[in-house]
Parts: sequence; C-alpha cells; structure tokens
Amino acid sequence: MLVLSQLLSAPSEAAEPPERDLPAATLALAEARASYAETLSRSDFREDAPAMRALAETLAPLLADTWRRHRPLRNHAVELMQATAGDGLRPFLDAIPGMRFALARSWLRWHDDPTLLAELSSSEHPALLRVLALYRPERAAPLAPLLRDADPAFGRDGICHTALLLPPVERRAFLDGTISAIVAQAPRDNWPACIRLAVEHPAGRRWLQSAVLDAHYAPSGALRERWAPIAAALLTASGPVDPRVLTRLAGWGEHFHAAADASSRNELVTALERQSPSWPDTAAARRPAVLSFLRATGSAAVRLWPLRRSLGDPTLFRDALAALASPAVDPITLAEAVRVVGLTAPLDARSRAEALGALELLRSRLLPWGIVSVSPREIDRWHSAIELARPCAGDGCAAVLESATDPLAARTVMLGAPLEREAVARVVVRRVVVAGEDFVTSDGVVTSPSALAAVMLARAPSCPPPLRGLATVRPAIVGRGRTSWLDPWRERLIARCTLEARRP
Amino acid sequence: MRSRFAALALSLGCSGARSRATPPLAPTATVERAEPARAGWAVVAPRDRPPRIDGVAALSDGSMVILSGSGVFRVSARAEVRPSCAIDPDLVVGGLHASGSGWWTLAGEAFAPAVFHGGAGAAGCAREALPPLVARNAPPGPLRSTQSGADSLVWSSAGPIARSRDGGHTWQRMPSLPEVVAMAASGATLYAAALLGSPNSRTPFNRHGYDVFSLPEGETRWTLSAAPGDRAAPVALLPREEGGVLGLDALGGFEINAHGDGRVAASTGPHFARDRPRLLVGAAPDSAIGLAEGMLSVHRLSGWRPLPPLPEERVATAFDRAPDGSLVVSDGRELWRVREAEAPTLLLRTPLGGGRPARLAASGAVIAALTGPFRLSVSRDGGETWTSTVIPSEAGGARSLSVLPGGVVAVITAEPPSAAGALPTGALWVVDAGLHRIELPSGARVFESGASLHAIGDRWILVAGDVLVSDDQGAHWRPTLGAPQGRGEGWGVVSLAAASGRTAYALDNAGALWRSDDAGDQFVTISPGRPAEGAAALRQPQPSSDWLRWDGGDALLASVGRQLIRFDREGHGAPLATVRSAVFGAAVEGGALIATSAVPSNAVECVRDGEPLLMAASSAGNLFPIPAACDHRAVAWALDGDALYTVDADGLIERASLRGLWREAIESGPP
Repeated sequence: MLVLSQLLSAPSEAAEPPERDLPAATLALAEARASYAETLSRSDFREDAPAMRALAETLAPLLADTWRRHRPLRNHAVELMQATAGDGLRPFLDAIPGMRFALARSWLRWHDDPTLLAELSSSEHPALLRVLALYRPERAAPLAPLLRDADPAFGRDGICHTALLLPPVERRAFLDGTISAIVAQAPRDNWPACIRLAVEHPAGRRWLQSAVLDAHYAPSGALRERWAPIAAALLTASGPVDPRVLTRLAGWGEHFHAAADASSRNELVTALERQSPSWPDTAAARRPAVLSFLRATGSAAVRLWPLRRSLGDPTLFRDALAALASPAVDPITLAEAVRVVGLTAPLDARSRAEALGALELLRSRLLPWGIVSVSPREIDRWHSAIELARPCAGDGCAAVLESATDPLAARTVMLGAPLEREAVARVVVRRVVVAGEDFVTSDGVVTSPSALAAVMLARAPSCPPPLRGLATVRPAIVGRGRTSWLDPWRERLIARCTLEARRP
Repeated sequence: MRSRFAALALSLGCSGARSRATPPLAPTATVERAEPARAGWAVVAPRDRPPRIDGVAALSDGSMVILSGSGVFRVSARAEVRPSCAIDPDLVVGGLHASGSGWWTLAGEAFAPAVFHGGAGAAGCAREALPPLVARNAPPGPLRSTQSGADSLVWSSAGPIARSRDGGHTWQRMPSLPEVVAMAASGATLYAAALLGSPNSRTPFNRHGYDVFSLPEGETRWTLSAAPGDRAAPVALLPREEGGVLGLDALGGFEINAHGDGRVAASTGPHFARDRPRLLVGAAPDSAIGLAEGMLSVHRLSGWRPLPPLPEERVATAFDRAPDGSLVVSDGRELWRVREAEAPTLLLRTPLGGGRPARLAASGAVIAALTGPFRLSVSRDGGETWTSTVIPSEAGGARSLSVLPGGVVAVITAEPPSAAGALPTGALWVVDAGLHRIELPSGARVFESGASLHAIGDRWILVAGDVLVSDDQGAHWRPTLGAPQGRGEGWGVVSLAAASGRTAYALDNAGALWRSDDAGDQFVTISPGRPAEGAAALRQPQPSSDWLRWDGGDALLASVGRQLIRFDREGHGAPLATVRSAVFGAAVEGGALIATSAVPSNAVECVRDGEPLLMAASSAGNLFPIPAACDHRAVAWALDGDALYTVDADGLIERASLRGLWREAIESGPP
C-alpha cells in the first residue's frame, strides 16, 4: 500500500508516477489532504507560506495522476489542486485540456500565465480576467475594455463587483475608463455592483444624485425600480453627497416608519446587506444619517444588525434588549438579539446587569413559550461572556482567547484585543478559520455559528500580515455559490490582504 | 433474523426472544416433479454465519461478537461463528460493546430500555431491565451507549443517564444532562460532551457545537468546563491515565486535566469538509477512529491520517478496536482486520464476497451469483462451499449470468459504448476451473438486457441481437436466427428458453415467438406477435422486462411490455395479466409467479428498500402479493425446475418450491 511518505521520497525526476489502483489512490489522496491541513496549520494558515508552496509542488504529480486515472476521485483531486495549484501541475495542464479548464482560476491566482487566457474559450475570459485582477491588481487594465464591451444587462455586474475590490489606484483607473459607459444608461438599467462603483466617481455620483432628486415616484414605487441599490450606494459613498439627497432618503426612511410596505423594505434591506462589506468605508461624517436610515428599516431587518454593529450604532444594544423582552419577535430575530446583546453590552455595571436580566428573562421563557431558536446553553454562554469578558492587553490576551468559549472570545475582541500582536492574531485566525468551515446559511440571515468569525470578518479594517490567514476561511459546503454571506466578506479580505502583502 | 441461527440462539434460552425459526436446511436441489403444497423455504448460503453484520465488538480474549438483526453471535479467532443471544425482534437494538471478555448491548426504547449481556466464553445471555430513561418536559429522544474503561454508560438525549460498573449486571441512575453526544469515565469523574442546540430546533446556530461537562464522584450536578473553548461534534472523549480527559473532535483536539484546566491542540483536524468524520470513537488512549463516507481515519492531537481502505470500494459500517491495537471492521457483510499502513486482511468472509447481489443462476448443484458488476461466486455443492472470481473491471458491467447444464458458468459483459448511439462491446466469460474470456462474434449486439447464453447438449446458443450457435465452446459461431425480411437493426431477440429435448423457443422484440426443434439450427415463427408497424416503430428490448421462461412442462410464460402472456408449445398465446416492469416470472399450473419492480399501490407495505415484489397470478389473471415472500426481501431470482432460488441484499441465498409458493399464495389469497 502506497502512503504519502513513500510517494514523497520518490525522485522528482521520475516522469511516470507509480500506477495506483483505486483504493491506493483514495488513500494517497486522503494522505495528501491530511498533509495539506497539517502544513496549513503549521504555516499559521498562510497559503503563501514557503512550506505551503513546497507542498503544492510535491503534491502536483499525485494530483494530476489521480485526475487522469481515476474518474471517481476527480472532484476530490480538483479540490486539492485548486487549493494548492502547484507549479508542478504545469506539464499536466498542457497535457490534459479538461484539467486546464477546471484549474484556470486558481492557477491564475498563483501563476502569472497570460498564455492560459489566450488558450481558453472567450466565454471564460471575463471570469479569468476578474480572478487575475483580484490577485494581481496591476493586471487589472483589461477589465475596463471588458466592461465597455459587455452587455449592460448581463455582463457588467461581475466586472463591477471585481472592480469594487481593487485597490484605490486601480479602481480609480478603471472608473476613469468606464464611467462614461456606465452613465450612458439610466441608473435603473445598471446592476447594483456598477451603481456601488459609480458612486465613487464624481460623474457617477452626479448621475445617481440627479436620479434620486428627479424621481417623482412615491418611495415604494421608486424602490421597486432598482432605487434601493442607488440609495444604499449613496448612503455609504466615501465621497461627498448632496445634502438634498440625504434629506430625500431620510424622507423615504419616514415612509418606512409609516407604511408597512414589506416588499419594498425587503428589497432595500437586501441592497443594504449586499453593500455590507463596504460599510466600514463609509464617510465618518455621514454615519449618523446612515444609521438613522438603517434604523428606519425597523427591527424586522435583523439582517442589518451586524452592519449596525460594525458601524458602532449606539442604539443597537437597546433595540436588541427590547427584542429579547418582546413576546412578538420572530425566532431568527431572537437568536440574533441574544448575540447582539452579548457583543454590544457596554462594560458599565448597570448595562451589564440589564443585559444579564434580559437573558435570564428569555431563558425562563424558553420552555413555557416553546422557543426553540435559542438553546438554554447558548444563553448561558453569552451570560458568562458578559460576566467574564474584560479588555485585555499584551500577549496574555492570546491565552484568554485560546481557551475562551466563542461568545467570550468574540466579546473580548469587541472590547479591543490587540490584534496587531502576532500571538493574539494567530489564535484569532486559527479559531476563525476552523470555525469558518461550519458557516451555515439560513434564509439569507447574515450570521454564522461563530460570533468570533462574524466579528472578525466584519471588522478587519486592514490586513496586517498576522491576520492574512483569515483569507483561507473556506465554507464547509463544497461548491457553495455566492449565496453564502461569507463570500463578499472573504473577497474583500482577500483583496485587502493581497494589497497588504504587496506593500514594501 | 430468519436464519437458522435464530432457532439455535432461541434454544439457548434467552429471555424475551420470540420464535422466528425456519425449517432446517433442505437437501441439495433436485428438479422435483411432484406438486408440493408448501413453499418450504430453506437457507442455501451462508450456512455457517448470519448474512448481515450490524455491529461488532472485539473481546479481550481475541474473539469477537457481532450483532446481526436481533441476534448476537460470537466469532472465534478462527472465524467460527456461534449464536450467543437472540433478542426480542421487536426491540430496537443498537450499540454492541465489549467489556473485558464479555459483551453487552442496549435494546428497547427510552420508556423500557434493557441491556442484554453475555459472559466470557458463555453461550447465552441475560437480560437486565434499566430504569426508564425519560425526562419530564422533554421528548424521549434516542438512546446511546458507550463502554469507558470498566464503566458501562447508557443515556437518552432527553437527559437521563444510567451507569453500570459490573459489566452490565446492575445499573444506577446518574444526574441527568440533556443532548449528550459522548461520555467517558476517567478516575472517579464522568465527562460528557453535550450539544449546545437541540437537534430538533430550527435554529441555524451551533448544529455541531458542544460543551464539556464533568461530574466528580458523589456530586449531584454536572459542572460546565470552560477549558476546551469552542468545539464541533462528533467528538470522542478518552480518559487520561493521570486523570482528566482527552477530546478529539471534528476540529482537532483538546485536553482537560484533573483540575479542570484545559489546553487546545494546535491541530485543526480535517481542513476539507469531506474529510470531516461523521462518527468518532475512542480507540487507543491517545487516538480515536473516525468514519467519513465509509472511509476510516485515525485522529490524534497531532493531526489525522486515513487508514487503508477496504478493498473493492467496500464501505466500513461498524468497527471496534481489538486488544492488539488493530481494528476489527465490518462492511455490513464481512469482517476485516485493519492496521495502519498495512493492507486489510479478511477475518470472516461471506459466500458472495460482500457487495449487493445483482444476478443469480442455478442448475442442479451449481449455484452462481454476481455481486456488484464484477464479483462472481460459484458453489458446486448446492451452496455448502463457494469460490469467488473477479471479472476484470475493464470488461464493463455484467449483462447476464447463466449456469449451463454441464455446470459451466457463463457471464456476458458489455463495455460502455465508445460513441453515442453505438452499441456496447461485449464479451463472454466462462468459469470452469478458471476464468476464460471468449470474444463474442462480430455482429453480436449486446443490448441492456437480452444477451444470454444457453446450452442444449454440447451446443451453446447465444442470444445477442440475433441467435448464434457454437458446437466448439465458443471458438466459432454461426448465426441461425436474424432479422426477418424488412426488419432492420431495430429487430432483436430478447429472450430464449431451452426446453426439453432439442427444442428452444425465442422471443423477439416485436413479441413474436419462434421455435426450433433442432437445438437452434432453424427457427420458425409460431406466434406472430404484434402486427408489423414498420422498422421505425420497433423498439429496443426493454431492460429486464421482456423475457421468456419455460415451466418445465407444457407452458411458456412471456413478458412483453406490460403484458404477461402464456403460450402453449404450439405458440397459442393467451394474455394472463398486465404487470409493469416484471423482472422475473415463471408459469405455474394455470397461473404464474411474477416479480415486479413497479409495485402496485395496494402492496407498498411489502417493499421497503426497493426490492421487487413477488406476486402470484391465478389462472384467472388475478394478481396478489405474497406476504410470506415479502419477508425474504429478494433482489434476484433463479429458477431450476421447481426450485426457486432467491438472494437478498445481504447475500442470503434461500430456496423455495415454486409450485408450493404459488399454491400457498393462491390458497391464502383473497377469494
């Protein structure tokens, strides 16, 4: 039986790896996956660590051979190929066309390979150019002509989405080259990502502002015409925004208070949620206006609570306390309220007593009221997190975070753990990456089972080297698409980490 | 359990057992011409062991016990199987544990749980009733059990826990803890991992998250341990020699010392979701065995490693650690010994070599079965002893299995077609002393169903689109029945039945019946089938549902589409019944016995896992299921004169009298 150690000891110049039958190949692949996990853990979850790149090269022949010989194992092999994309796969990429296609995106991440673009079909080009731009912003120039040629109704959104993740200089260059194409259409004919991007350009901002100011629709009717992303973009724009626009948006907020227009509100909440990774960029001066608009979406918009939390909304704690005490609140809001109360309860004795009292009240109601969305043990954990969490300093923080429960660790980070310290960052990254595997989606609720992961991914103002491993967070469900709440945050993290990594 | 083992175990006097004994083994098959009044089910194979293995425990004396249905069997180190305990078949049985050289298993549900236990080397078992494991204000929940050192532990997810320290003889209630997923006794302290959220809750949070609790001796409340931080189930808790506990779970591992202080291991456990174990069981003091998608792995604080997989893509379903450090692993049918970095060795084999049986054939004392697409098992002494052969996987899937009158076993295989629309390439595999490949003649068409080999005297008759004959064991073939005038490639023979003397009948896909009285040299149409509708309207043979069978007397039964037709020797056909997807059938007296995979709506309670349903057709064409046959859950059939052989999904081969079965069904059926 071949095991990895034997495989690794084989001379690398052996052109033809030993032929394995299916059980041996299954075992060798599982060994390779175990080695990958071990090496990644040893490398503090930095996929670009030398040990990881060396492993990628070592595994390449095994992976290519498994792909070629054993059809039932192809998906398993490709998963590891995509994670490693070792340079040793290059000869196999040329030899096996199907593998070239399967690997193209991760290959571009690790290897600057322009010939790959030329050889793959044109329908794949936009996706590949986007990957290239994400990991190599200096190669983002082809994105602008790509957008100009793309169908406004179908092809533009993904390109704009990638452009949003580019570093400022490249983003600005992209906008300069494309803003005329974007504003040539009415805002309602553009997709949300392009609207979010356009707001960063003075011309784009004028374009969006005039669209809002010229609107003669009733608020609900206007929102149905794709005004929701426009409003969200203008609210979160980092540049100056006409005060009249904010007044009008505030008027819409009033409308939400007055009218129970569920579908319009839902649409706006969705637009604001999609905007969530950009929230921390919001101009500080506009935060009060933004928050008042967010609050106007009502307590049912629990999906926006993490955003309110990341913007430091001082009223969120009170709203969450009120939700805990309300007999009418829905189960999902209740579950999020427990978390928000635990994370945002101020440190003073009175606030903490209020928070603990609210949790105790809820715990006593679980059984009589038949509440199943929150477990008593989860409440107990938040209870002790509120009691025990204190601001920590120095490397001692690492020991606290290491053995803390997830609620306690999350609250400790919220209270200001020194994440710039390597020992602290290492513990946080390990916990988030490990918990990241278990993220679940449920009806679009922006949350994860790990409060620490939610806090860290929504926070990260920058990506110092110790936190770079956060970008290796991988959702557990293989093949999960963009429906995961994690993905926009992760993309933003990758974009920032790539940028940070390239700084001298 | 319906094997004779149930009867043997019953005689051991285990309390609570009820009779499901079957008649003793019948003599080797012979073609019976009498008219038996009873089905007379008899086990053909395996005779020395139960066919299925649901649980396994390795005892300290080197022997093993296995759980099969409601029976517990002791397996010696030399693979001799002896029944040890018969448990009431109405009880749910789960969790078989070794306790020194004894064993125990948990049976029943939360309101009336019971433990059955057997001692070292002793035949028989004793039953101990446990206190009800129910809690006020909580649904009863499933029962779980574990053996940790000398402590036997049983609990319900609702919270109640019971412990025995004398091998399951006496049990004490312990303080309750809901949603426990793993327990361990370390020194005088009990440790438990309990889920954060109820599995029944709609909450998206913490489906796998758990906390660790401890219960020192004499305490009345469990204490939450803050030490291991955030974890995800499944988890194995292993007692440490110096006190405290080692936890290995889906994310990695942690340690808690006797003072309750903890340390989280640096390892993250499996990184890829598909490597995450679904089940983790403590094995050695520092390692746990994980089971993910049928593959075993060993987990330690330093990381995890896969264990060698069982051969032929077998999936591990149950395992236990033997005293020598190896693992005893079952794939549901066989037992294997697995060690790190060594190929697994077989401890207890089945006649059919594991795998789900797909085809069965019998003639006289020769019985053959195909399991999966490639493994061919043959007995030449009526099922007593078996030999197994593996057809090379390059051959493609098996399309037919037959035992020729001389005892030659033949399989026709077909490689997948190389191009869309092309027919697969076939080969004939013959097993006598060894396995031989014989090329099919050019022009042979191997349809999904319908390719088969028959023999009359020394002559082989091959159905492969056309009918071809060979007088030199396949060295040369001669076509004798091909497409009639005006019929093109859409025409084909779907089934052939060799009758008495030198007579053979063939059924084509237009429903026409052909007869040859010279062992296949010349065929004449004796029944025209459907009116010719032009070649374009003819269809390819239907998978499995078009066939022809001779009853050994004067009648032929044919399934054409949904029609069952009885023909006499002159080709006069009369529709008997309408049955969708008939996969097997035989004419019996004025009616027939039919197996169908499209179960009628009024008989669904008979079929559980998609096994075909056996039905009797009376001479008037009335159809009714045979409840007695439902219990046998056959997935493939073979007919040899009056002997009907069945094999179930576990590889249990049984034999009944075709006429007896039909008579029983007719007599007990609705008027």
